Amino acid sequence: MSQAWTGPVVELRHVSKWYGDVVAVADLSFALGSGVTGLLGPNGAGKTTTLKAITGLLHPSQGEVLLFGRPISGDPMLYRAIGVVPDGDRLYPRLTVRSYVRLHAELHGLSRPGPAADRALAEVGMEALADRRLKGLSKGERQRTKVAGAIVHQPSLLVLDEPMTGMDPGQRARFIELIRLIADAGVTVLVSSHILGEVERLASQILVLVGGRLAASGDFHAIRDLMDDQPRTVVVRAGNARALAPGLIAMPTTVAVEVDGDAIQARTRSVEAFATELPRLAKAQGITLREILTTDESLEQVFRYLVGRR
Amino acid sequence: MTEMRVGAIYDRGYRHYDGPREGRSRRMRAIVTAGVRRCLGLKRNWKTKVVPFALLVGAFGPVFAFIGIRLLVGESVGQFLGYGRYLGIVALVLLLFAATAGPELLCPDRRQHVLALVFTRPVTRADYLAAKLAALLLVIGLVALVPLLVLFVGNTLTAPRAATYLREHGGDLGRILFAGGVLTVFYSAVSLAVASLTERRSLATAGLLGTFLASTVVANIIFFTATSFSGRRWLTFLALQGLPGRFVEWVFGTAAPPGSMAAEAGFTGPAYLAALAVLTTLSLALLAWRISRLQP
Repeated sequence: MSQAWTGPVVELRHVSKWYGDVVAVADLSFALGSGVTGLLGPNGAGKTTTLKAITGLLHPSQGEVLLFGRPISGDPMLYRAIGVVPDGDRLYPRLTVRSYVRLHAELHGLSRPGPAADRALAEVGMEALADRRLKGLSKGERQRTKVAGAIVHQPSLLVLDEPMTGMDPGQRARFIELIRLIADAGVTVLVSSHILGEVERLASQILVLVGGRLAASGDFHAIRDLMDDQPRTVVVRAGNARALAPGLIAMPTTVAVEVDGDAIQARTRSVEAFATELPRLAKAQGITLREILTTDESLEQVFRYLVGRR
Repeated sequence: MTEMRVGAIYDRGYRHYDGPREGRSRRMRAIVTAGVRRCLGLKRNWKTKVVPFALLVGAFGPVFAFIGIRLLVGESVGQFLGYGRYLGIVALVLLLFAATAGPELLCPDRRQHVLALVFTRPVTRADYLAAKLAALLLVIGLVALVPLLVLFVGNTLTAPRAATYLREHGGDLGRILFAGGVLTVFYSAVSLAVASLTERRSLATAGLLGTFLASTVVANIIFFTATSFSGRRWLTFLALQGLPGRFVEWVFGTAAPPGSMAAEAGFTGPAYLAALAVLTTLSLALLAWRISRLQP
């Protein structure tokens, strides 16, 4: 079913969800294809509500959710193509790691649940702990066990809600590596987080939710480029920085220039125009350019800007 | 182990599963099996086995003791442990078993927040409810039905002539299946319905025991003190722990003890069967409503 589908894996059409007078998400519309997509937003932005709507755990008050072109509501067979890692510690503490993953293989109706569970545990690097009880595991180990349970049937769509919460840096690095491996195999991965650094390393695309509304979507560099009303910082190291500064100030797109030794920190409304004009200016004055870099391309900057703008 | 903690994830070739998948029955069987194991404490530590196995000993003990005495003493021991009498003896065991097994099946799923994991698999709420009910029917049937069948087989095998016993007591087998089956369904439905009201096992267990025992005590007190109350005979249906007993007496043709509330109320067996059916139906309706409203 899912492998033959060539349209968007996930599609939300004007999805809203409200609880009484409280609007959790409003008029969300987006489509996801392959690769890793990060769902970003501050606490209370509506990330979990959105993921619950996508995974059919709640019905939108308005709009529709399509997975592989089919509405998720009332179609439990769609879950054969989906793996879900909910937020929080949703585990049976007394089960062993293997029996937990095996139970999920059985719930998916796999004909050989034992080997399927062992394969999933190997994929997440948990085979050495397969006979340990879940309650004795570290946070990272429990998260990896949850992922094993979610991929035991080898889904085409993997949805993870705040999967890295509580992990130490080492566990996060390994977890990101694991998710990349899964995505590289053609699985569509949607991962929510408010830990921007990890999402930046993990996701090729982002969706930013603020106050229950979609604030931005797409490649985060592309989003940053679209924010032309927000000046961006460019650091230039040159042979004679002080001589170069007046020319940079004269550029119509330049907002501010600060000189510190051989470094110039310029704020510009157009990195492209700045990058075109700078070499010309340097050549005309006979100044050697040693380094040019933008310092606020990070997802954190994009996110702060979008959240602050609402 | 140490290597594990240092950590590395190896690409074992993640690929899409295109192997065979079994149907709904396989998925439900997984929930049923997990449920039965959970109720009986199987594949778990010894502490979780204490209560269910103590109750199983309480249920099977009288049967094996009787069969053993019949083997030693022979037919002269008589029928002091009749089928109806046995159900009367284990009535409290049955109630305790229902009051612990039902909550064990339902409450932890909510308490440990695992419903989101269950309902994001190809499992509908109806599948979930049916599987949980099936698991509890199997477990309660282990106490309400199986010991009676063992007793029947024991009586047959220890009789001077097994064929004669079967010919003369063949009707008992039908009565055992009928009475045991009704009690199994009744206790399973009521137990799960009460368990669906809370996510705390202890609260559900106490609630079920308290309701059954307190209603019986209160109904008896009112019945024997308010003798001028014209509708007092109907109080017999409020004595919840007494209902199964009255039904069993009717099935096996025994009479309620003289002077008891049931004897004085004067209702016949079908009235008690109808009361059990009404309570079972109400319990299943409550259970279905609660499951449909579960928030994963």
